[in-house]
Amino acid sequence: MSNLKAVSGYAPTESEASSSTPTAISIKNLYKRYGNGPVILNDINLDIKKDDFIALIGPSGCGKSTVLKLLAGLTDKTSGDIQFLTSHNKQQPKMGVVFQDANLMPWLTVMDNVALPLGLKGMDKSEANKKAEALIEMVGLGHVKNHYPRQLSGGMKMRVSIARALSVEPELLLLDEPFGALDEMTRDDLNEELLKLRQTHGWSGVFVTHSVTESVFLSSRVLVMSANPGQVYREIKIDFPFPRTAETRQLKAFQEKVVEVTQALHELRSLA
Amino acid sequence: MNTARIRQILPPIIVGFILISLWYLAIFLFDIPIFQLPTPHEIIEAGMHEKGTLISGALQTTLACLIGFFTSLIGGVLLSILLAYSSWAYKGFYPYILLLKMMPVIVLAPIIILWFGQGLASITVITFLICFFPIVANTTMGLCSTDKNLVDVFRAYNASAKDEMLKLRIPYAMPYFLTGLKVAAALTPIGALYGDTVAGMGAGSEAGLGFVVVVFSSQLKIPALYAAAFTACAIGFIFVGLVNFLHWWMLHKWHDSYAQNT
Ligand SMILES: Nc1ncnc2c1ncn2[C@@H]1O[C@H](COP(=O)(O)OP(=O)(O)OP(=O)(O)O)[C@@H](O)[C@H]1O
Ligand SMILES: [Mg+2]
Repeated sequence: MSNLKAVSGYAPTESEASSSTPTAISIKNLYKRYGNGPVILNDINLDIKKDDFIALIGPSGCGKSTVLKLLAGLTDKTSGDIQFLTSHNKQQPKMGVVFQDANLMPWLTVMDNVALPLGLKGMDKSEANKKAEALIEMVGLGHVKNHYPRQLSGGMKMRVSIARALSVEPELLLLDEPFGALDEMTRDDLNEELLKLRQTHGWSGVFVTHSVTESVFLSSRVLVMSANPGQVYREIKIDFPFPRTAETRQLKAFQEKVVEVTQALHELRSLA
Repeated sequence: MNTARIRQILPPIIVGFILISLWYLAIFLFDIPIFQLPTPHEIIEAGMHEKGTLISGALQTTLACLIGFFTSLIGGVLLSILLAYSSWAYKGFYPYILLLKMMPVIVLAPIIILWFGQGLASITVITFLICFFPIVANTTMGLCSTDKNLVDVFRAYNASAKDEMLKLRIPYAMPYFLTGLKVAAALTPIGALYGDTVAGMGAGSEAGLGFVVVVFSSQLKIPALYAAAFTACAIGFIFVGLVNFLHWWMLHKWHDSYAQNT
């Protein structure tokens, strides 16, 4: 660690700070099977801190999406515990979810898609639209707010999806391969935008990715998962300070983290 | 824009012109007698001559179409929502709906007449039965095949069951429903005309077009028979046209079937 700091030339890392920030979600001994099928998640333990942005990476089918679905309440756990320790001690924190393929309602305009979660919460339409409009501006889609999803490019759809997730002012943001379908350049751009948004909104987050660079660039911790059954194979702390920019990618320390994650994935492959 | 419009309209006009020319040509070349194939102008003449009968027949048939179509639309949608709402109802009812669908209306017609008597009631019931199944089958399929990923979006944002039905499943099913409606619209005049031939009333203003056809044919009024057939076509055309317009109006903004490639 210390030599990384020297190389990067950055101010003290966040690692000390984050160890003192409160835990937002605590996952203990989590097991998951679908019906009577095989064990998909085997004893997952994870503390998500308030300022954490956690990357899940691992071979296809290892249960990354399942972790997100469990957090979002879209599927039931088999055993174990997911505790939400939010500020107002509710059952669940306010959650935004960004799904793998944007999952926009094709019959709703950009505006109505972003306002959808607010409408479902019972917010009145004009207020919801005002909030949606601000978010659409923020993700840079003001000029297409009355367009329908089929008129948008993949990257634009993804941004709409992110704006929709942010509309509920989430305390926890879950993202499942949000930029998986995009080209490298667009992906890098959106990565940077996402970090800017995080800077202003300050949610904790968990995201799934297949891109090693993305996992290192975005996250405060990378969890490398192994498959059959899904387990946390290694946890790699990424302690470059936020905000990270295009220059961060050029750092030698950054490259070293990329190598570290890649190596962990290679080890997994040779184990299998 | 305007040239595009013209390019749209021109081919059918040209083809229509060629067909009519061929028609005259065939009659001239093969010396086809009027009681087999009258010329277009003879048909128009006969149509003008029988104007009263044709118009009242058309009105009667249109009425049967409208009643049959709208009752099957309302009934079909309500049943579909019930089937989609409760998987118990779905499992319970669907086999019987299919069974009823398999039964040809031709077989049912005598029974229907037995129950509802000769006349409009039986004709609309026959029309209803013919329109009902495409609507139910398509709408139910649409309501039951909601994209699982979109359902997840609604669940993730804690949508109520009511919102899930109104804001997700029904809009999702709309293209399926409208496709069913298109099929039903094309079948509606067939149902009404067939109903006419088996349950139609002979007297004056109560005779639908189907019955008019039967009468003209027995009287060997061949050009008038053709005129009646074309009138029936026109009703079907208007019906299908209106439903196609509805399909366009509801879907063109967002549905892929109207995506422009230009
Ligand atoms: N609804 C389901 N019913 C049964 N099995 C499921 C279901 N969803 C996922 N699985 C199984 O759980 C395992 C993990 O799936 P999951 O979608 O979590 O993988 P993943 O790590 O997200 O993979 P990928 O990287 O390909 O998206 C897979 O073996 C899959 O077959
Ligand atoms: Mg997945």
